[in-house]
Amino acid sequence: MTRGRRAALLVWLLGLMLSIGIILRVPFTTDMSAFLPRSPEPTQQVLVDQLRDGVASRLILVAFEGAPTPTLAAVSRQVADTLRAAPDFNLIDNGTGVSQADQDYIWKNRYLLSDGVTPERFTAAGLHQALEADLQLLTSGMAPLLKGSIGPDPTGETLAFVRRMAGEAQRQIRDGVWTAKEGTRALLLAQTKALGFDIDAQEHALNTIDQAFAAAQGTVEGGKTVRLIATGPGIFGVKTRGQMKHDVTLYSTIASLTIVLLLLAVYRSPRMLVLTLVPVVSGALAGVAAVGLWFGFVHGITIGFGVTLIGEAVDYAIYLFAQSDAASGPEGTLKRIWPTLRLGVLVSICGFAAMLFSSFVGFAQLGVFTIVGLAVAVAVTRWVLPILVPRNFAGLRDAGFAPALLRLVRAAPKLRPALFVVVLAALVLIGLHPGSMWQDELSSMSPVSAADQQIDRDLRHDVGAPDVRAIVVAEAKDRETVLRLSEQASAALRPLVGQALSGFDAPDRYLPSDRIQAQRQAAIPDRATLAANLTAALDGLPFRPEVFQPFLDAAAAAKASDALTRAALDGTAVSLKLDALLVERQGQWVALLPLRDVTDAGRIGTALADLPGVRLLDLKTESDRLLLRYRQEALTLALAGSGVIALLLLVSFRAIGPTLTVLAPLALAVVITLAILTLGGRQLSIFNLFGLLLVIAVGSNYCLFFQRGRLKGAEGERTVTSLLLANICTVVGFGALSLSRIPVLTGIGGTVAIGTALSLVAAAILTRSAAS
Amino acid sequence: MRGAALVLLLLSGTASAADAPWGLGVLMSQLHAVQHASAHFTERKYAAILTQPIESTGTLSYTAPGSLEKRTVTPKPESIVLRDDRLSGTQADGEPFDVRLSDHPEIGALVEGVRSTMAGDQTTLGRYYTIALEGDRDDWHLSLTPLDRAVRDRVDAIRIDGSGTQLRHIQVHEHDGDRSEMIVTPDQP
Repeated sequence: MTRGRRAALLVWLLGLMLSIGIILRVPFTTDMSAFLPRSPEPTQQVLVDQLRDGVASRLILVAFEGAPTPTLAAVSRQVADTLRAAPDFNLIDNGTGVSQADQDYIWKNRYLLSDGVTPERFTAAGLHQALEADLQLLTSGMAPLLKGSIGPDPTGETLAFVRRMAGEAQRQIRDGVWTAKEGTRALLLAQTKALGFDIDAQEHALNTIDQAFAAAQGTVEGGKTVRLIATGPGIFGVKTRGQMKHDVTLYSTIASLTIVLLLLAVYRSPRMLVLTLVPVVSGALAGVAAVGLWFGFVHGITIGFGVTLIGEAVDYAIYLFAQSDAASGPEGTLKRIWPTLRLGVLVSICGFAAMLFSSFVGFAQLGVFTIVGLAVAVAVTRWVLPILVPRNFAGLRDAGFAPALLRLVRAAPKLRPALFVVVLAALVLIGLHPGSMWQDELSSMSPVSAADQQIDRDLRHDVGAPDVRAIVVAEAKDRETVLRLSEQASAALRPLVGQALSGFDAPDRYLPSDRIQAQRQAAIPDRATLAANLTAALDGLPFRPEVFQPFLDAAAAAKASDALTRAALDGTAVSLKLDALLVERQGQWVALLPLRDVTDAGRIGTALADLPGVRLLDLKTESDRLLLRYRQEALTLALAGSGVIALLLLVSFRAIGPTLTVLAPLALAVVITLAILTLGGRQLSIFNLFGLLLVIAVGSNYCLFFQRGRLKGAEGERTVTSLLLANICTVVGFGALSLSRIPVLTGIGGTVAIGTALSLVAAAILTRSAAS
Repeated sequence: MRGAALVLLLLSGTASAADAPWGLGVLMSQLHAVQHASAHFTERKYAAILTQPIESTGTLSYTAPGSLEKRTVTPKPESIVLRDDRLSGTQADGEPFDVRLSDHPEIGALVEGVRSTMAGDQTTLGRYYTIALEGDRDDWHLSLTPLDRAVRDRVDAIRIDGSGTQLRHIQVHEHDGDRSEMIVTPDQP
């Protein structure tokens, strides 16, 4: 063994060990937000972050269906009791009344919370008016339920506050629990202690719910027919992870097995099979390690695409082995094909490099993974593989179909007219495509199935979570300022309720700013004045004066109390609302005011125009804008990648003719692929675009070999066999992924499988005669 | 021919109800047959927080099967309408309200006593109360005790006195000793 060979082996082995060492330490994630892009604007970032780890991400929405209301209610109650005792949850809400903690918070702090607290309210005239209303309440049929608060709260602040909250919530209580759809569905809202992206904890919480439900089914009569539906970001995370694990394992196993069997059938030598996989495995290990070093973590999907790398890197060994002959041996073959192989790898790397600039961390990872993986794989093919190949290796036994294949390839140029007809038809199809070529819903990129998204929307609607389309966002440096902004925005919105929108929610409702709290305290007169006003107000009314002693006490206490802070809400359901609407992120405070049923966004925008730091976001417009940006980015990247590839070819050929010979089949393949992908009015996703970039990166190799190889005699037979084999491996690898239900896998898998196969065919038809 | 059979059937039904010994079932089916009733009322509220009872007057109007309107004239005009599952009206502070009884079972337990009695709806009454009936056809006393524990903490019983198919006197006895008494004077049709 020469010194150079020994050095190559040593470097390879050290590299392998280093990679494995790194991989063992790098954390792996399955958080799908890696495929949600980094957002350019702070407001959008807040929304993305809210999705990722805000309070909203910790909510699990549960529904019980499939039985009469009383049965559903019994199940709901029992499950809620079990879950309240479980350690996984902060809060369980199934509508069994306002919790004691919430009642206490509202009751104790009514004079700081109610916007009815004004100086006029506590004058003799104001009190008299309130007391007259109390008298009327006392004579109404509802007196037994409501009269208890007359003494301590004659101005009715608690009732007003609760009524406004109830007005927002509009809950439907049947048989004592929260229901929807005329009692055919019982609802339960659970807030987990763990964050939404803590998938392990979310899975545990989901299991706890499942177990509580199974137990309730057993004990409640008729409970067997009850169905449980659960949704929420955490649930999506759990489901997606399961789906991804399942898909990636299943389809990479299918692909690997198919490729292994195929190679075994062709090589008829297990040893050669193992050797073929050496560059692939080395490349994959180095790629994962590189991603780990660069990003600090590796995403599950990146690994999932590892299988696609098999489809690409396995080609190198195939080219080497399949094109070797007894005369030149592997070394000789390498010398012959190396320039082509090197150019092919460079071209592929240029294509994949475009992904490095993607806003999607996932795609950037994929770029790093593929580039490093391909470079290592080709290096191992070049310098390590020849050492490992048995000295007497005489190339593959010639495949029986090889002569026929070569004849086919040599005859292929006759199909040029047919190809042009097909391309023309494809162009016509693309031209005739009804409507937009592009998927215009951001949700189409979500790994969550459309059915699950529908269930989620449905349940969200039922629990009255504002169906967030329009939201007012206020931003400031501190909590007090943002709460004041929220109060100003609320004041501007209030007159528009019933005209431009049907309602809204606001954080200041649950925790007023210190300034407003102080104003309300100042509105309450001192005890002596209030007592005198009350005495005057009672004149002519049949109330016993001593009944209102608790009112005087409570008002005096409220006047002297400290301002409310977030801590006062601990343990209440109100705090859930507040935390969802008032968010701190990196020293920036954001208040969110979700609007309901906006009919005139223009008027709302005008009403808020004077408030600095406050704006109306139309989330539909925002997400459309976001999607457009991603699409433009993907287009730019795909075009830039293609441009760099063209430039690379031009530089290496130093002539336009051969460059075009390589690019023309790719262009035609891309056009036909586009037509197939959009057949029947289907729309393209960003993932399809990235897929097309990969088609160019991978397919260019075929064109290069066609263009530079001699397609004659035994060598020609080996070349076409190797290309077919390589392409079948690519199609199998990516094609298997297209069977997945996760959009990113399907989108890229399908595109690349179709596109590369077409590239091979187009190259066979076009290149040969152009080169000869 | 079919019409005649129907008439016969109806007649026999009425006859058997009239023949059966008087009791809750008969009273209910008689009340159930009433399509429309209207009356004036005078209501007195006795409450511990008041120095003297307050009196209000107005009209009651019932239309089968589930509509009941209470219109107060003095001391302050006010109207509450109970129609099927919805209770609507204007609150003391001028805020309109519209609630569903199914969403608020405790409100149902307060209003169904009168409405279901007028409708002769024994099933609904039985869902909210234990029913006790004393007296005879011309002078009966219905006592309704809430079944729901939370409501029973507020209301001991609703007592309705009547004669024939007419309600004459409705009392609500609250648990804390407060009570209301309503004297009902039926309008002659």
